[in-house]
Amino acid sequence: MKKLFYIISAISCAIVMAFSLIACTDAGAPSHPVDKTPDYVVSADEFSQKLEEFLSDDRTNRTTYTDAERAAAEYLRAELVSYGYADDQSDDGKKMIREFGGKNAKNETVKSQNVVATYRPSDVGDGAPNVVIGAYYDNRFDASLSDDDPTDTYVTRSHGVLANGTGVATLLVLAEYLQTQKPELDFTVTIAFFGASAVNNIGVSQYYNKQMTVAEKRNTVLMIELQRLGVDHVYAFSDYRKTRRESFFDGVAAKSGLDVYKPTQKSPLILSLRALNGIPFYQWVQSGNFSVFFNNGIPTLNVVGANWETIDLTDREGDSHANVGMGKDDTLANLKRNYPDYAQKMATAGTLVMNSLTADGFIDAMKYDRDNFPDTDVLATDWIWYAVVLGVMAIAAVVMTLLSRRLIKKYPVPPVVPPVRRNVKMAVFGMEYEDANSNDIFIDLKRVNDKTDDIFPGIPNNDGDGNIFPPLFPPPVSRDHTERDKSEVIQTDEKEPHGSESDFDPFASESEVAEKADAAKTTDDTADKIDETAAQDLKTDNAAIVPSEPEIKQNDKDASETPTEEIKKAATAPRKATPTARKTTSAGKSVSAKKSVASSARTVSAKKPIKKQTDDGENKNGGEDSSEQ
Amino acid sequence: MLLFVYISYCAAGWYVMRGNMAFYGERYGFPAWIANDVVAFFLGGVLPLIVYSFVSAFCMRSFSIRFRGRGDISAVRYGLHFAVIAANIVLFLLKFIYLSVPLYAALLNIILDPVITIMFVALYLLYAFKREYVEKCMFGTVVTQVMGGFITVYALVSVISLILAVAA
Repeated sequence: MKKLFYIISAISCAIVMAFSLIACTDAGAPSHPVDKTPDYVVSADEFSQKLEEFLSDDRTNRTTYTDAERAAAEYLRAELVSYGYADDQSDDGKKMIREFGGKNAKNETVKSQNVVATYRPSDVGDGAPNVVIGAYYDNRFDASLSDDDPTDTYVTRSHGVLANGTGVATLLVLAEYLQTQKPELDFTVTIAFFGASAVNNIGVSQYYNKQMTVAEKRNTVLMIELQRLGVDHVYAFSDYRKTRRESFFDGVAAKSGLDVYKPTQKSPLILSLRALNGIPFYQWVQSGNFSVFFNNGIPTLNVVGANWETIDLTDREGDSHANVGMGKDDTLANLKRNYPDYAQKMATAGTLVMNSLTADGFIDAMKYDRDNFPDTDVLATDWIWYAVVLGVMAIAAVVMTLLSRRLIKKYPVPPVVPPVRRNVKMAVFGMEYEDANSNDIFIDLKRVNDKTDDIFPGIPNNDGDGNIFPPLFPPPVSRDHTERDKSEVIQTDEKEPHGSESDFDPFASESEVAEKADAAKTTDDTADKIDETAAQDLKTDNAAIVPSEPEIKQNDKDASETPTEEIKKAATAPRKATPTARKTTSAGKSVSAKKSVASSARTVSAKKPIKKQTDDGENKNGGEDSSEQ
Repeated sequence: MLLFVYISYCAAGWYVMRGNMAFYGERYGFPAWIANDVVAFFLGGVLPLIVYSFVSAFCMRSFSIRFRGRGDISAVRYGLHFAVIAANIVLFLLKFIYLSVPLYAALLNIILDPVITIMFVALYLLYAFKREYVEKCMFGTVVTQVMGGFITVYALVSVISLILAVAA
């Protein structure tokens, strides 16, 4: 037990140590060498400048479904136009600002808008592959975090810097880079700013379902989302399943020496939630607008800022500071104070995207993943697996039932035999016994002819042929211990009637007693009571084996010649006047137990040491003196 | 002994409890000292231990009532702790598979727990019978009571989860 305790304690300590080690490691850190000053496509200063410009002119308030959001959309359109994007450059001639509307929780008609522009290289025609790069631009400055509760009056007062000012600024920089640098691409790039997508995916859903043409959907090979950039780490997530784009993006990050993390199992798996089709669990990295495209079979890349390498299981922005996104502390001042290198993180994300777009083999890898988008819906269909378990349980139940029935049949429970009730009945004046084999004890009242079992001498005993019933009291113990010391064998004549050698007659005259005292010599040195074995034998009518006379004599001789230790002890032990419990064993001729009792043939084998037991100073079954019978 | 059973249940349920702690921690704003791996480890064994204690006590009690004065399966119950501990340790080790194949985490989590546990309990009962921990005439009833308890609990959980999954 102690050994087991130590083993289990050691295992527990190992488990706790493993936790500690895992918690202290950055499981998602890049495996490639990271440049401390990588070659960004655009300097970090430009990213920070773009952010400050975006948040100026009261654009810290971009509350969903409000004029403030509309004002932010107008700003973005103007910026894109200034970069060189035409207002109606999309394939179907739609303008940049694409409105949509609906009803809110208060059943009021609300409106919002997406801002969409397309970069089309000069030599790329219709039907070319398309890559969508998106970021949501609204915030919850004058609203709560939920649109579902019409009575909710809470307002966050969030400036939306991390959610999602940094993402918008990064996308603006990339949009400007495309128009200014005009990289040679063989695909189009759609720049999309989603409204009404801060807490729900309303804007991005409207864009995919209502504002994209069928051709655009068919041609879109990748959707990249930028969100919450600027905190501890930049994570790039594409898919859990085997895809080409994951290794492609890893290669781009390694080649550029970028510090880009990958989400690992250190970030907890929430098995009870689903966000992406075919993915049977939820992780923090799955949160975002890209899920709309993912769930429609379009490959995605989620570039998000976070720190999922801490011991904290929640969705952490950074290790050293509490989350501020969507809260009143989500301000530019706090971002600069808490994350001084936020601009480098934005630049890292932007460089990863741009270098991927311009890398060789990009469009081939994306087209492959688009055409071979994995279908793992069955893994995420829980009811199938619960049904499998139910089936297994049903089979186990059937097997268990059959097995238990077989065992019960093979090993039946033995019936409990109730103890035999023995009544003591008085047979009066020679009346006939009702049943000679009855378990009842009959006390026969008749005159005793030198028989000690008669209580009332002179009254007929009616046991002329020997008492066939067990005696009520054990045979008496003789006071003469001399013979007992020498021999452990009590030899009796089994043919003699019961009590034939007894000389006790309470009603005998004095002369008769004296005569009998001289004549009677008891050889019984062990006044045992009827042992339980004999009684049990009586009940079950088992045969009690009684040794024959020659055997008894031989046993006596053996015992006298080679007394055992226990016999020696018994011989030297002080004798008490009280009778001792008699223990009987039998060997030799087999006779009926009842008859043997009736004929008083009770012997003790000398081979078995006799254990003397006292009955608390008195004979349990009768008086102090009783002769053997 | 029950402490070791609890620790084993903590180990077996740790991985799933991480996810639950993360979800509720994010939803209700738990600080880091609550929503972490260590708390998730020790919290993961509470509910399974309660269920196990209740079911095993119920089984033993009903067995004692049926074989009043004749049956003593306290030895069986004590040994069952070891079987459960062994099953939970195996489950804990198997759940590291989730790290390498997270896509199969959900279905493995659904299937592994009941199958492994019942397998170990069955093996233990076989061992107990070989060693005659109880009289042979009680073999069948012990199988029914102990295995039936485990099968009933897992079947019940599966039924409820299936209904919820279909409804969702």
